[in-house]
Amino acid sequence: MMRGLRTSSPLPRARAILGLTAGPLVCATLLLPRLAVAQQPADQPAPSSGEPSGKVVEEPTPSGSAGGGPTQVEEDTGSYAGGAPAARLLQTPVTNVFPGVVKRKPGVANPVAGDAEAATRGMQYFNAFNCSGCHAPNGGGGMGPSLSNAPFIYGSEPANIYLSIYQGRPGGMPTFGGTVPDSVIWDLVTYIQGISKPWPGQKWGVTVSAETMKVEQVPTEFGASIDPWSQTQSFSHGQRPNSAR
Amino acid sequence: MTRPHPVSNPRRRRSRWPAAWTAAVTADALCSVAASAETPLGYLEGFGVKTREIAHLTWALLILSIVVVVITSALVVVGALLRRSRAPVGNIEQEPVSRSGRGVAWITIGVSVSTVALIGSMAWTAYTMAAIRAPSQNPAVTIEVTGRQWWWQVRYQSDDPSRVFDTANEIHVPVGKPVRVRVKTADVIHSFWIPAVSDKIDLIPNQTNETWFQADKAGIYRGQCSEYCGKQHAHMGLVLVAEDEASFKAWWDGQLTPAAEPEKSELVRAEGVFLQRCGACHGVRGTSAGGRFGPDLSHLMSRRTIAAATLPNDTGHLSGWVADPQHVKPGNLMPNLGISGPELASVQTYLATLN
Amino acid sequence: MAAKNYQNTRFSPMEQINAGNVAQLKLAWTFSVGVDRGQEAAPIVVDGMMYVVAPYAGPYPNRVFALDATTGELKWSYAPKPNPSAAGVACCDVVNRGLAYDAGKIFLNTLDDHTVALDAKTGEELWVTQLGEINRGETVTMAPLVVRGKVMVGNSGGEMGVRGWLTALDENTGKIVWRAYSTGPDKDVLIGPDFKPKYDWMKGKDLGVKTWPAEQWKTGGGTVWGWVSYDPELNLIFYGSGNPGPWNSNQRPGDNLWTATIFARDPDTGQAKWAYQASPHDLWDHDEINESLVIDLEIDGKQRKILLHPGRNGYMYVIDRATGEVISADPFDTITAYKGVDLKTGRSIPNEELHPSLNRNVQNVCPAPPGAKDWQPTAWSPKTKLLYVPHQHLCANFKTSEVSYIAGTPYLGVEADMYAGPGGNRGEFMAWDPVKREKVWAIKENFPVWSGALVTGGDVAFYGTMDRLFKAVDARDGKLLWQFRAGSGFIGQPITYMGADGTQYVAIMSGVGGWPGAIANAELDPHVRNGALGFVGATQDLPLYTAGGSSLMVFALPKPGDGAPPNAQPAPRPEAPQ
Repeated sequence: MMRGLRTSSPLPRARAILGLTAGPLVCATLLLPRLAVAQQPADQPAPSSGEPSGKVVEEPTPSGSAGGGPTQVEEDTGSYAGGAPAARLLQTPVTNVFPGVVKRKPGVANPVAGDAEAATRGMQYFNAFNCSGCHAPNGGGGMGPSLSNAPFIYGSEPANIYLSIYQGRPGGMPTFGGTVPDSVIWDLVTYIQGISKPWPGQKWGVTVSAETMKVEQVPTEFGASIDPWSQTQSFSHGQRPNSAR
Repeated sequence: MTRPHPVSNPRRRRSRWPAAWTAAVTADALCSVAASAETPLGYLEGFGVKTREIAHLTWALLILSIVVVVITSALVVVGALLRRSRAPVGNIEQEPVSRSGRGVAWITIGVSVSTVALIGSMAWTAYTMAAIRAPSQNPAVTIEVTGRQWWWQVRYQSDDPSRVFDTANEIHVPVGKPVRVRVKTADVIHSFWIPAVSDKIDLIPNQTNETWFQADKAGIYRGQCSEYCGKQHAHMGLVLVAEDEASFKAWWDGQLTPAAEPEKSELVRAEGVFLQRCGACHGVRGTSAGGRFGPDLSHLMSRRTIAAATLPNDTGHLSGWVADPQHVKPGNLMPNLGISGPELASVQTYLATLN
Repeated sequence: MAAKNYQNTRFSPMEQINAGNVAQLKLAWTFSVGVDRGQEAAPIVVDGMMYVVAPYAGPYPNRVFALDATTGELKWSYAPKPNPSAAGVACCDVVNRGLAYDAGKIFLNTLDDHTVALDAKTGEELWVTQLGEINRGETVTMAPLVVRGKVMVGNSGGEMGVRGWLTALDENTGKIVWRAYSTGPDKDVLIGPDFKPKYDWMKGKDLGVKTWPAEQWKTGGGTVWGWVSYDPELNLIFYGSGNPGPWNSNQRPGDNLWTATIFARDPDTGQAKWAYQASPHDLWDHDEINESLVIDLEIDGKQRKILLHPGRNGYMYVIDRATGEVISADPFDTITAYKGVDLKTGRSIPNEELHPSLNRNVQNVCPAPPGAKDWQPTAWSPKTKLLYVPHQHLCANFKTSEVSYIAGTPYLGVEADMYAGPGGNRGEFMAWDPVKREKVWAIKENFPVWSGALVTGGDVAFYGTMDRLFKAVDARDGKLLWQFRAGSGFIGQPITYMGADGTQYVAIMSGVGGWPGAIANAELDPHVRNGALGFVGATQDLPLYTAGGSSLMVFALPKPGDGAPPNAQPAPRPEAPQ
């Protein structure tokens, strides 16, 4: 039997909300469970960095100090950083020069690292929030630097990428913190990490010559993917690509 | 309409007559006609040119099917009784197998009758399909509907581009005028269906399909995605408001007016919070909010429902939705914003001005 | 002014360097502006001084340098207050197309929407006016033009959902005299009783609103980032507006007036006299900001006052500049996107088979989004009566998708992927006869020819290529006479001038970049074809030929006898005061 609206499942709760006064009270109530989640430690290990020698102080991920988030906070402290403790994010370095040689890595893991759908959502957001306008589909770059293979100017750790999106960067990267929720930023981080890989044949450095320019990605008008480096074709030298023929 | 939303009325009770099965079906059907305004997805009575034709056919085929079932059942029973075995129980091997010539004749009769009935139904179906293929006059309105997981993006078309506008999840049409509907999808296959007035039409990726309908009776009807499209398929509803020409025009004109520039400082602040927190996904005409990832919110307060006809549009439900959309429609593309209490209050304050 | 004269002809009558001796041309001196990004600016020379402006990058973005035009000695420099974030909203490299001079002042447009007046002698800042807001995606890249005491400045940002305008500033005070928007109601577009367009479909009230879906004209583009020309006799300025926003045409049904439109306006009041929309409801980012040259020609036995406008859409327009009537429009490159221009109605006819419906991958669209010719200015020689056109030869795949307007971020909704047009070459330098309406000669180039052109009384035409060659060709037959391999590719504007020593010099900025060249001067990935709004597909191998550069290069003929270029030795500097 088909049902009317009143019998659809979310209703009892919605009605409960209706019973409350609107506004802050409702929000505070609804946020409680979310905060509890936010305070749980992220249990994924930070991905190994390519850091060469030198002491690295890998600080353990804390398990209780949520603290006020870097999200716009007015009177209350109901903001969250999508699972990553805000205080840790503040300690994330953008450079790799450390007075005293002791390197610090605050160990902020991507809270959605284990979520198989995060990259797919991230790809959707990459288009929806016009990231693809500056960084181009598949992160080839344009108004903004490429994300498909270039070393990241402001660090390639998940927390670095998170902060670059959240805070913006002085060369023209807009500040997206507050405009898009933190969970969206972490999905974007997941997607961006998935598309930024060395191209086939790339060594520690980059040689540009007719011999090294062998492949290109299949362009996105023929279909987008969260792993564009898995679909390549021979380098076209500015001619009509093979995929179009 | 006296009721705010017919779809939200408690469904009518089932027939109280547990008598003969056929009688029950008929009664059920009759009840359904009597109370069709209260059965949002009832398709046994039409409120539009198309669905009336279809309803006739549905009824005819239903009755025919019932008759066939009754006759065949009766014949099976009669046959079983007449040709009951006379052999002693448990001695089935002794039962003679015989076949008389008259039985073969019955097969011919049966096939002939069915053929006539089938051809009749086919002819009627073909006639109905021909009758509803095209409207009697050129459609007065063209609406472009794009299915998205899990809501309906709507664009009203016009020869005058400045009268083109976007809205979502609620469509208005003039009564007694054919309306052309062009359907597309932004993601997976959906199907557009407003049982009271329109037939189903599928929304296929990379394809534009077209249908039309004409509502004959003013009212508020429910539409529903009728092709499974993912987790929240069931909560992908649509509201159709069929109204007289003058109200329809007034509604359209109203939709074209840009959002008012806020004057009071409280509203200015509220607008600021809305633009920052919501504007990247949602659009409001006349402001810098130009998001198209989520439903257009221009004149949100003129709509009867939110979240694709999932919740009534009132302060409580709206606040609850903004605060925790994943609780209401898990998996939908609006993420939890982690919005603070004061921010939520501001967003609510601003949304309330979008009438 | 960057374009040499109000007519925008880029013709110099000088003959010292001519087809006979240009082969001996030698480098006289060079100067670095310190920023290795796209150098699109034209140096300007006034009273023995040369003024040049750097792109918007580094610690001193859009820095202005004043040099002795003969010796190359640096006289002064001026650096505007930097706002590095402006780079984030500049669609196609952080270029600046040049300065303007009038009445002892140098006028500078900065990428972050400021117009500055400087004392030409001392470099002192006289006034600064902010004209736009980078948070709305507005930038300024065009070279200003001063007409009757007013500095004409237009905005860029057609890829960001900006509402385009041309603004006139008082040259003495920097106050805004008038601003003409390219979309919106007539009072904003400065359309009044004087407005008499030739064609009926451009007549009516508030068409800048009525040809858009509700409210979308507010983010509708039509930016003015190209060239302004002026006819003193008719007292009219001519300029074109850019593409409508967003690129995805499905989101903006209607003609989208007044984008991709050529305007004629009164420079004193800004009131429009006529308009001509070259691409109604533009589908392909075909801006019409290209220059309109003011020339008089004998057509069909009649002397006519015309505008010669090499259209981005690939048609060479000859337009009556008094009325806006299209006299002829002929294709000068491969065109599949249009079926032609209907001379009765004036409308270009889109090819319906290539309609970019939402999410459809349309292939082989020619010309590609940058058009058959982009900003790179042409030159007209009254001697040969030919137009010298540097241009590109590209086709594209083009797929539209839904796009949100988020202020200050790109408003595109298109995945583009460009590649060489038929024949495999990506650029061409050609000479066009507007009377016979045909190509006279053409030189195929491997890369898009993104530099401007210059033609002289010595019948030499100059242009530069993205693969680092500065070339001089015979203006009559296109024969290559001389070339010079420079440090970086060319996308600048060549000029010529007479030095204080009576020597004719030729100057151009070297430094690859711009929309096609960002791949070679910034962090872009040549393996991802859709980068730089699809231009990476067409110039992905450019890093094999060049990297960014920042050099001003000045050439001259060697002085008779010594074989060395003149003035290789700088003049002695005055002693610093103790």
